[in-house]
Amino acid sequence: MASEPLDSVTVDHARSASPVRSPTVAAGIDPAQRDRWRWFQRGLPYISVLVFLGVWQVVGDHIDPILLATPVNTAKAFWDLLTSGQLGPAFGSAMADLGIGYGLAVVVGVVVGILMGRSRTAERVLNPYVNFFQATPLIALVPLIVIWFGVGLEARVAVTFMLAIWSIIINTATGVKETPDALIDVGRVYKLSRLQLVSRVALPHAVPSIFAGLRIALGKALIGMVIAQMEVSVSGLGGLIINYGNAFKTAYLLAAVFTASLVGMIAAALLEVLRRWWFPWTTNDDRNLW
Amino acid sequence: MTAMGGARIEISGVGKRYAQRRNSAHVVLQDITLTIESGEFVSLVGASGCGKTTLLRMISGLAPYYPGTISIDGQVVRGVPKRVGFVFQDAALLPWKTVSGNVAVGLNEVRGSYTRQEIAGIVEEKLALVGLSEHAHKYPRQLSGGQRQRAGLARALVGEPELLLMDEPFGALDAFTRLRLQEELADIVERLRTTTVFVTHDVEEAVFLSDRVVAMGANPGTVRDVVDVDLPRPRTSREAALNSARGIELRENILQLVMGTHTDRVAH
Ligand SMILES: Nc1ncnc2c1ncn2[C@@H]1O[C@H](COP(=O)(O)OP(=O)(O)OP(=O)(O)O)[C@@H](O)[C@H]1O
Ligand SMILES: [Mg+2]
Repeated sequence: MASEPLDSVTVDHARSASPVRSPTVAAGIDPAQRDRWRWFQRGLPYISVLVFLGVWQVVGDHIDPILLATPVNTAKAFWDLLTSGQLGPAFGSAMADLGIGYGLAVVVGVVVGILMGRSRTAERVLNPYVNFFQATPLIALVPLIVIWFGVGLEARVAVTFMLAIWSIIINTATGVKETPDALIDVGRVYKLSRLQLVSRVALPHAVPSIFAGLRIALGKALIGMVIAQMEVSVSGLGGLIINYGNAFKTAYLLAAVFTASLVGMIAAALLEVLRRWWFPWTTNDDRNLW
Repeated sequence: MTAMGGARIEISGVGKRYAQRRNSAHVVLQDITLTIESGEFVSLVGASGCGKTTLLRMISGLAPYYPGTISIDGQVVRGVPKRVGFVFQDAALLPWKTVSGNVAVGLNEVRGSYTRQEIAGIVEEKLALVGLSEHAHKYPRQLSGGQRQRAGLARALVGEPELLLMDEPFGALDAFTRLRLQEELADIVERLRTTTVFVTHDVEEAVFLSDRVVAMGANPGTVRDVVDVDLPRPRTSREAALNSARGIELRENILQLVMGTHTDRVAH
C-alpha cells in the first residue's frame, strides 16, 4: 500500500519521457535543405556584423569623418596606434588598473560576503552600507576619491574597486545564506568544524552565485577603470580616448574604445576559463551521445 | 576500527512543536518515550508527516530545543553525538563532490586514523557494496534518484558508525536492488551490531530487518504501539523469515497498525 503512490509516479515518468518528435522532422522537409538552414542560422551573427560594417562604411564615406569614422579608417588608426607604440602601454595600464582594482574587490568582497551570509550580526551591521552604495551612482564619488588618493595608480584602483565590490558582496552573501539546511546537516553529522562548514559547504554552494556576481562586477570594474583613466589621471586607454576625442580624431578614439572592449572580453573569458577549470561541477557539459 | 555494540538511546517525554503563524504552534511530536537498546534495530513506521524525520533529527542532535530528554549511552544529547551515520531522506549529497568524494565525507570524523590510500580503499569497498563502483567519478546531478540514495547510504556506512539513522533509505530503489540492499543491511547490522533506527513505509522491509517496529500515530506524532519482531536471527533468508507463520502474523499486525494510523489521520 505504501508503495502504490511510488509506482504511479514511475508510470507518469515513463509517459512524459516518450520521445517528442521535432516539428521540422515531422513536417518532412528534405535534409539537405534543413542543413543549409542550420548553417545559415549559425552564420547569422557573422553575417549581421558584416552587414553592419558595410552599412557603416557606406554611411561613413558620405559624412564628416569627425562625426563618424569609417571601419576602414578605424582599423588603420588601430594599426597606427599599435605600431607607433601607444596602444601596447595603454592596453597594459588598463589591464593593470583593472587587475589590481578588480582583484582586490574580489578578495575583499568574497570575505565580507561570507561574513554577511553566515552571521546575522554582520549582516545587520553591514546591510545599510551595502544598500546605500548599491543605490548610489558611484561615479559621483570620483572627485572625493581624488581628494583622498590623489591622481595616481591608487586613485584609479580605488575607483575600479569601489564600483566592483558591491555586486560581489551581495552575490556571495546570497549564495552563502541560501545553502540548503540539509547540506549543513550533512556537515554537522559528519563533524565538520564551524570553519569547515563555511569552507567546505557554504562556500562551495555559493560558487555559482559568486561567479554570477563576478560577471556583473567585471562590467562595473571596466567602467570604473576607463572613467578613472579619463578623469582621474589621463592615462592608458581612457587617456587615449579623451585625448583623441579632444583632438576630434574620431577614428583613433574608436580604435581605443574597441581596445577597451577587447580588455573586457579577455577578462570575461579569463573568468570563464577559471570557473570551468577550478569548478568543473558548475558546468553541465556532459556529452549527449545520441 | 570495528565498533562492537552500538549506542543505547533513551528517549523520554520528548515533544516538538514548530511555530506556525503568530501565536500558534504546530505540535509535530508529543510525549515520545522509547528506549532503543545497544545493537538493536528499530523501525519507525507511520503516516507521512507524523514526525519520523523530525525524531531522527532530534536523536542526531540536529534539531535541539525540545521538552523531555534524549540520551545516548547515558549522556544527554547536546550537539551531534559521536560516530553517527545518517541516511537522509533526499540523499543530501554535496553537488560539488563526486560520488566517491561524497562517500569520503562519511569518514571525516575518523579520518585521522587512515592514510589516503586506506580511505580510497574503504570508499571503493562501500561503493561496490551499494553497486556504484562504475559511477564513482560522477557528480550527483549525473545520477538517478536511486543511485543518489545509494551514495547517501554508502556515506552513512563508511565510517562504521555506532548509531545508524536511516530515513527511508530504500524508498527510491527498484525492487531488485531494494531486496539486495535489505539483505546487505541485515548482514551488516548482524555483524557489527550497530544500533539502527530505520524509517520505512514498507512493512515487509520493517519486519525482515527489525528487532522491534514502532508504529507511530499522526497529528500529533505519538508512539502508538511497539511490536516485538521475534523472528530468529540470523535471518539468512528473507523469504523464509517473512513467510513463516510468525512472519505473516507480524506483517498482518503491523499493517493493521499502520492502516489505523492512516485512517486516524484522515478522520482528523
Ligand atoms: N522546519 C519545519 N518548520 C515547520 N514545520 C516543520 C518543519 N519540519 C517539519 N515540519 C512539520 O513537521 C511534521 C513532521 O515532519 P517530518 O518530516 O518529521 O514527517 P515524516 O514523518 O518524516 O514524513 P514523511 O514520511 O513524509 O517523510 C510535518 O507536518 C511538517 O510539516
Ligand atoms: Mg520523513
